[in-house]
Amino acid sequence: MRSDNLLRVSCGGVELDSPIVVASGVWPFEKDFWQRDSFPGLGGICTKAVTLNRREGNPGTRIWETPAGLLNSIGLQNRGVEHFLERDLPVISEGGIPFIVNVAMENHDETSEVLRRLEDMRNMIPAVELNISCPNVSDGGMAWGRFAETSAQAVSMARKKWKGPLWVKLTPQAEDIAQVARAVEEEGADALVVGNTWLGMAIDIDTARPVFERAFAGLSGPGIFPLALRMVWEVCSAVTIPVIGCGGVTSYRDCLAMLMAGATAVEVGTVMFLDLQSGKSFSSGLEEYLLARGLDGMKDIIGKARQ
Amino acid sequence: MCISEGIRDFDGIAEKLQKITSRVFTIDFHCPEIAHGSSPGQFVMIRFKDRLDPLLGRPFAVASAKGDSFSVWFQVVGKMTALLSEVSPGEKFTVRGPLGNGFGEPSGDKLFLVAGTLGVAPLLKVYEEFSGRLDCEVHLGVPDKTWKPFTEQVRQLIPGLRIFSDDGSLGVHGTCLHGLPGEIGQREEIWACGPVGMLKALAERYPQNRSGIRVSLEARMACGIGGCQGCVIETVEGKRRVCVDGPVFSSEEVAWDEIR
Ligand SMILES: Cc1cc2nc3c(=O)[nH]c(=O)nc-3n(C[C@H](O)[C@H](O)[C@H](O)COP(=O)(O)O)c2cc1C
Ligand code: FES
Repeated sequence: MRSDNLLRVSCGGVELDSPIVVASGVWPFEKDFWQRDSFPGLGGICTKAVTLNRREGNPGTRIWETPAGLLNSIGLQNRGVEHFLERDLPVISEGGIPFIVNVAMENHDETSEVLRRLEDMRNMIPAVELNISCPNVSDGGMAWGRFAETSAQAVSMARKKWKGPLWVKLTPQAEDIAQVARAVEEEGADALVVGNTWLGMAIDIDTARPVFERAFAGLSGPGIFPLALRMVWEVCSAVTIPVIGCGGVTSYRDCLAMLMAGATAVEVGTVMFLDLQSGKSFSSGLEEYLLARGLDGMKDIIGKARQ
Repeated sequence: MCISEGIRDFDGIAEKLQKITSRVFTIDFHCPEIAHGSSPGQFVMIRFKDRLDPLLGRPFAVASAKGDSFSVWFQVVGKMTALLSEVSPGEKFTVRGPLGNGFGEPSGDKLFLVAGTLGVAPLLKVYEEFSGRLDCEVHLGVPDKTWKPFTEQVRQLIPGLRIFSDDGSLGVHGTCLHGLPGEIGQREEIWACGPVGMLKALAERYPQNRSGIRVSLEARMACGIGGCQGCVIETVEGKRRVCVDGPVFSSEEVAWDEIR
């Protein structure tokens, strides 16, 4: 049996050859990085966040390593939806890897305009990931995802504008993650990504000042894996739509744990900084695990720890 | 399987650690792809294979290449460099590269290569590449005479090296800018690497000649491939990524007023 059959999953309206998807914000738009043949084992790639207008992102220090972790305060730097549609979309859609357009929730009017423009190109866009979880901006971002009511408002707006597959990326800073997840499911999301970075901070003891201009920043990387796994478990208990586990995955074992907790797919961010071929090595690991146990496919793994 | 212009994560094996001063070291890595495939001013990101702490690779200029190996020079400044200063031969690393634009081709027939301490690393490779066919005058600045073993080591590679020290205890009293001519000629260029304050001072010293100055900048990096936007600097065209749009910029591109 071919490996891409064995690892195939259907996830929130997207057919993935492997459950391993590159998370938003770590991958360049340069053409070579979207060629399917160059990155075997990847099921899909999320784009960097897109907003209505160009954003310069945050001033000052943007990244800071912690023990087995990474704090970032990029602040949604991107060139705006027009540039994305004219320049990036043609490039990334040629490579053959399914991609998911990460749309950062700003305010109601701006984000609905972004989604309206994406809707005009729907035949070219496999899915949208609505990011109601960015911790690094003052306007919108994570503020939307903290409560069930505001999350529902954002998703309800998005659902009206964008008719294609809609993934919604939640924040670990949610007051009650199960409640938020249920509210987002009710508004018609096709899948939930659990989740974005965990709010943290660092202080530079030489200057006695916070490292980041915004003081707080988002923590990612292996240090957060157990936290993310627990949250995936909680959300999988709360909803019936597919969940995509994200946070600190650095091995095929972590992928298996996310899947066994109930996730249908896994997003990987920080680990791509360590190994560009993580998709390949994780997929081989998953495949060997399945073959060694005589399992037929992903359905035999997903949610197994819950049975 | 090539990715962007051959960028990949290669295996690198530490071959030789050399201690130059108590804080300055060089390491030779066996890594044929980088040894044969990088040009002056390009860099690599090096991380301990299979270790999650330190997590990310750190950027190092390719200082020289011989056979299937390349070398990096570094000063102990943090966790990663402290660990590297105790590395054992045979230890395995991941080497991402070759990264960045590099210095490119000289446009004239004389190069002033200007370095502040470890900023000499990328310029060693520039010298290796170009000193045979054009006039390369190398100026190296250090704080004081505790850096003598370092300057001696550089002198072995660059016989005509001019040395400057901040306190005058080694070479000529002054910074590495001290011995540069008042004006840069039509057929001359300055290529520089060092602390950002030094590079800014260089730009300010030649306000009319900024197109004749190329500077190699440093930044904290996570990906090295243009994905994370973590390494941006202010330029006259807005924020640009040091890892792929640089690390070498023309001095006239950099928005020096906004750089701290
Ligand atoms: C440098 C950086 C930039 C990021 N940018 C975005 C972004 O634009 N949109 C988004 O939804 N998530 C963004 N994220 C979050 C990641 O997609 C991911 O959810 C998070 O890092 C946790 O996964 P990881 O531990 O595998 O990295 C970013 C993360 C990092 C490290
Ligand atoms: S280090 Fe990631 S964009 Fe430069």
